[in-house]
Amino acid sequence: MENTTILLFGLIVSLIAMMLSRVRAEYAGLCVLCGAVIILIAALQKTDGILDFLTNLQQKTSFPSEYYAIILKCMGICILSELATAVANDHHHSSLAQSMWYFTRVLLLGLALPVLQDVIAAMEELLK
Amino acid sequence: MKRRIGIFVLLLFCVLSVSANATQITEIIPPEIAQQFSLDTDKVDDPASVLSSFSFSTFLSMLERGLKSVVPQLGEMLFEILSILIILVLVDRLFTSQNHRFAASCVGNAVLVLFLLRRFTSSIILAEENLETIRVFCQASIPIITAILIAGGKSFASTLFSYGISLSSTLISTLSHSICLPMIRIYLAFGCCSTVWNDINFGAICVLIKRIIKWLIGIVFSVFSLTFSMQTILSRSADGIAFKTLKAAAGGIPFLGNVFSGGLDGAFTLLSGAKTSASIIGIGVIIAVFIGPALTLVCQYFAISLSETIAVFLDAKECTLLLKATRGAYELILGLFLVCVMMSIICYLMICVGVG
Repeated sequence: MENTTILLFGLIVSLIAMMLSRVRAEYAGLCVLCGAVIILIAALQKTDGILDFLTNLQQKTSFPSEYYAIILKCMGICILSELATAVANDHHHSSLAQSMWYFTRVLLLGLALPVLQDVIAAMEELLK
Repeated sequence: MKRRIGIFVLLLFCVLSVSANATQITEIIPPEIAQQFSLDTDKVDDPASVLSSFSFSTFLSMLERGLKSVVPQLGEMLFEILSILIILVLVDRLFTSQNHRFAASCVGNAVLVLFLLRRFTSSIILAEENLETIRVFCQASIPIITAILIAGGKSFASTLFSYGISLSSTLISTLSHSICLPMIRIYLAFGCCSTVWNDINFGAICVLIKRIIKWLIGIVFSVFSLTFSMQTILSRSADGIAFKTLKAAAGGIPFLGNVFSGGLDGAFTLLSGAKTSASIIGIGVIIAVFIGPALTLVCQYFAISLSETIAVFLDAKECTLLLKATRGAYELILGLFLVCVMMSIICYLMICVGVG
């Protein structure tokens, strides 16, 4: 029921935005953005089960949990970035979308830097 | 004539005293292996007693202990790979944008590379250490077994054993330290690169390296088997002639000839038992050293093969490539380990059954 409501909500937001674009075009974009954020929050709330499953799986291993945290953070950043760039592209702000994508890449590189350093160290150890 | 008898008896005592002065083979067994066998040091020369210590059930119980310690590791490794694999598949399915999918999966792949590299490095060190243990044991056993063989009238066989062990030690050392293991490391490094750089076909280099290593191992083992077989045939006939000559010479001694000839037979039979015991201990120790790391390597190989199958099933292309490269590296290291162990075992086996 809840899932159907969210999907219906998306449809209604889309219809409202369509109607608004004829009357007040500046509000249409805002409406879409609000709707997308609400749907994203609802979707993220649904990921609890997946996160619990991954945490349980990770607890059964001796592999450092920091790495899992880094991957999940990267996923989160990518989800937000995808939404932001999609909204910017919807409004034909491709340069904004491009810079947001660039910022995301820099952010991901900074976040994954410890992993890359460890990979290089492991590679050095392997080829020693 | 008395002078000749005196010289002969003196020579016989000199030959027999070699084994008396030599260190026992039990003294060179690595302590961690020695404690696994209840070997009676007073009955080292008795093959039946040695066989009861190195019985099949002893090895089975060792295998069981090894499996009990290795199976949890297999589960842990499988969980580790699967957890990263599931995240990567989620990433692949979650994002609609190609750029975002690639960026997120790069981080996931880097974590998987890191995990596999760490596991493989520890495995390669394990294999290296155990090959070194086998090599040191084989080298240390040369004077002991050579002394027993010379005392048993098998001077050519002793030369053959020294030659075989020296050759296998050199080959193990060269193969493991200088050629194959470094090449396997490079193979895996290229395999890791192939998952990140799709533009350059690193897979082709991997295939070439794998082929070279397989050929090298095959050639080395063939050369070893060929040389050793030829030497075995030659030494068997030479020792037979030497024994017959010695027996004829002893039989030619007036009055005491038959006694000396019979004594020679008895002494050589006793020393043949000592030689068989030493070979059994040698083979047993090598197998005991081999079982632990071989189980670990096989277990990790299975974990990676299973993960690769799951990755293929889930259509995770980069992961499949990486796991395939790692599986190839494990195959090579297992092959190398097996060949090195086989070479050492063949040397002892030839002494036990082939030459004696």
